[in-house]
Amino acid sequence: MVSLCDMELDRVGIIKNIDANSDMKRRFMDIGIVPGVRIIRVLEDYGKSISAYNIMDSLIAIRNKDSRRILVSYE
Amino acid sequence: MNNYNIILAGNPNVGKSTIFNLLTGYRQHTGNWAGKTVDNASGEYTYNKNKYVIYDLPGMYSLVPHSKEEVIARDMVCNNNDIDCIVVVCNAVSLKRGLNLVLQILEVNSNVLLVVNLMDEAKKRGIEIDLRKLSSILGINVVGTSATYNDGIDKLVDGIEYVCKNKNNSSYSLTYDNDIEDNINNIYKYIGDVDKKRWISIRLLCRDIDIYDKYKNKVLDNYLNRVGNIEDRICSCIINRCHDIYKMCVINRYNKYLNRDKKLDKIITSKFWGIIIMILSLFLLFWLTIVGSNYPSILLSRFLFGIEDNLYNILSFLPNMIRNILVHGVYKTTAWVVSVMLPPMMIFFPLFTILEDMGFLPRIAFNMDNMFSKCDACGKQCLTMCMGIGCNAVGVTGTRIIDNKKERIIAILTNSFMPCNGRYPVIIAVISMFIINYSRGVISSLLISLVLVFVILFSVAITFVVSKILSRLLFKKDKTSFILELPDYRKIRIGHVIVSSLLDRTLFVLGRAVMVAAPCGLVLYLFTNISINGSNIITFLSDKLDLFGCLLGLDGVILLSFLLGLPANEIVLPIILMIYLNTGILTDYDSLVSLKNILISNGWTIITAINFIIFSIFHFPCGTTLLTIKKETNSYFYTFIAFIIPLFIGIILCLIINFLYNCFI
Repeated sequence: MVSLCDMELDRVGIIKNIDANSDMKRRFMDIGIVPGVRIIRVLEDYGKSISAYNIMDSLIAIRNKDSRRILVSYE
Repeated sequence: MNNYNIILAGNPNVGKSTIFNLLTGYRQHTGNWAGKTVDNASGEYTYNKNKYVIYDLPGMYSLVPHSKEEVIARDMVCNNNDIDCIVVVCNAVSLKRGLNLVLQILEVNSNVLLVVNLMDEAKKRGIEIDLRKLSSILGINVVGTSATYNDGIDKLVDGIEYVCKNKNNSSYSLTYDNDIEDNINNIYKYIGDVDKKRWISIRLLCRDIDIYDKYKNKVLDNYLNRVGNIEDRICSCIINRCHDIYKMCVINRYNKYLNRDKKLDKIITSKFWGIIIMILSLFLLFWLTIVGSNYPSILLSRFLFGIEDNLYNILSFLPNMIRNILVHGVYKTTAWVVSVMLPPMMIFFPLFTILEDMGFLPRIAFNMDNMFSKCDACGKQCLTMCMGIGCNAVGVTGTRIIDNKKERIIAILTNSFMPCNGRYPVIIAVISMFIINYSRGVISSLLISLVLVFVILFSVAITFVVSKILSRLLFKKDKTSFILELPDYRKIRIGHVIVSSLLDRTLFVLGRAVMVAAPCGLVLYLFTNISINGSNIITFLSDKLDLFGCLLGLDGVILLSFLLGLPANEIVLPIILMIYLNTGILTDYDSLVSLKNILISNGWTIITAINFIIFSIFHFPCGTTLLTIKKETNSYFYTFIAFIIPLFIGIILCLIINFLYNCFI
């Protein structure tokens, strides 16, 4: 398993676990980040501090320091 | 005739505002980035002799609120029995995520009409949606629209009428796994037979504090503690159900985000091109505004000042004093503000709307987030800063897209560092008189834009430093998180650009500016025409301020003009001229050359020019912006801070520059 922010670009991952405080966790879940869902890391900024993910057919950017708490495994 | 209340809900950036506009005919600004609706707008329309009042809620991803605005939105959906129909808007391209909200809303209220918007966009991407099937699964009416092109609006109006007249009682009800269902049933015992008890039980299991406060008792407490927090499992059930429904109703041929979008994204977010594209577009934006607004500005001021005498003659039935006050005071000041502000706004706002419409701005926020997060600020702040370049009051209102309170306050307090529309024309004039020799050629206008970009980059640097300091001083332990949606690139709709930028922004800002300029003109006129001990109030005050002004490398007249220019920054230079020339009325300049001569003969040097530019950027926000800050933060403290910080920075910077200049040169 890897952290979401450490995923290789353009590879499909399955969300396994979210370890964040309840408010942040709920925000993640609202945009579809719940265990079992497919997610692809598609973009990274040049400062390598934020990444954009394709989840539930939309493109969402999350800071790496936040997405570090989400664990995924490759499909 | 019946009255019906409708609310419009949906994820951010699904076209709710566009639908709202089409229904009501009221133009609310819409743009291609999440969180555009910053106020609960309401409007009304009449259909088949019934009146429909419609409320546009800010975008939300779920019924769990994370900000002040979302609490209001949630309460409207959940606790308002006067609502006859909830129109939930989904984006056909990302229907799956929209369904998440639909299922949650159906748990509290079954009078729902589902609108699947942007059907045309989905079709282009090879996504086919079986609306009939979706409707039969959810047990509610479903309407497909392409809001941008008016398709399906008739069906939408009919659909709303249907839901309002025939209350829906048999919509889809989500079934959770057995364990969760048992828990929901058990909680009924503790809360009694209340309205919406299923939803309340689910919220209690998710440990929703607002709901919990209403029903808390010891036995319930014990029960909830025994169960633990099962919000994850509840959310997973909903999301899984969304996937199931999606599979049943949608055929997605490509199943990926468009190759074209992806290529563009890779370029725009790359290290080399990302920065170049960003700076170039900023540069182009200013250059076009500067070059383009020069000529219309001259024409407009000629016209407006040309009719001043006619106006004076027409009003001959009034006593002379009142006529002077009205024409040479109120009219002249207002005409000045209009002729200086209108042309650049008419160029800047449409260009800005184009960038916004294309979906380019959220990508800039993405690129900039690293720098902003290092200063404990939010990447979205660069968007509100860009809006601030148009108008600081607009920028301050725009900070509502930032959902973290700390980052939002920081964005509000530092917004006035961006030289707004009322200031950069003056800054440009000073640059072209004292720094770059303006000879109307393309090269000199390019150089001026370059200097202006440099000035703005300097303000950005100061914004970073101040953001960092503020976050350390004001909010010590507040953690921030940040989720930014990058919407699909969309084609520019010229009609939309013109209508929204001209009607919504230009006229809005101009209207407010006129409202402050007119009374200000009155005060100015009285100040210059009432004398104390043989000299008028203005001369008296500027003499008092002169010593301090000289210490800053400016003079008393300039300082007084900034103070009197509190209602609107654009009248600072005219006030300066008025005092220098002792004309008693705001004074126009024929050309930059004559203006330069006037300034030089009143002691201006290159250092006065530089300090004037610095003080233009760093003094206090204008009256309108201060009012907006008070309204947004609901705090006199923050309004005061917003007033004092730029003033302090401006004074310090001017003192240092003046000191260094006198020491070494």
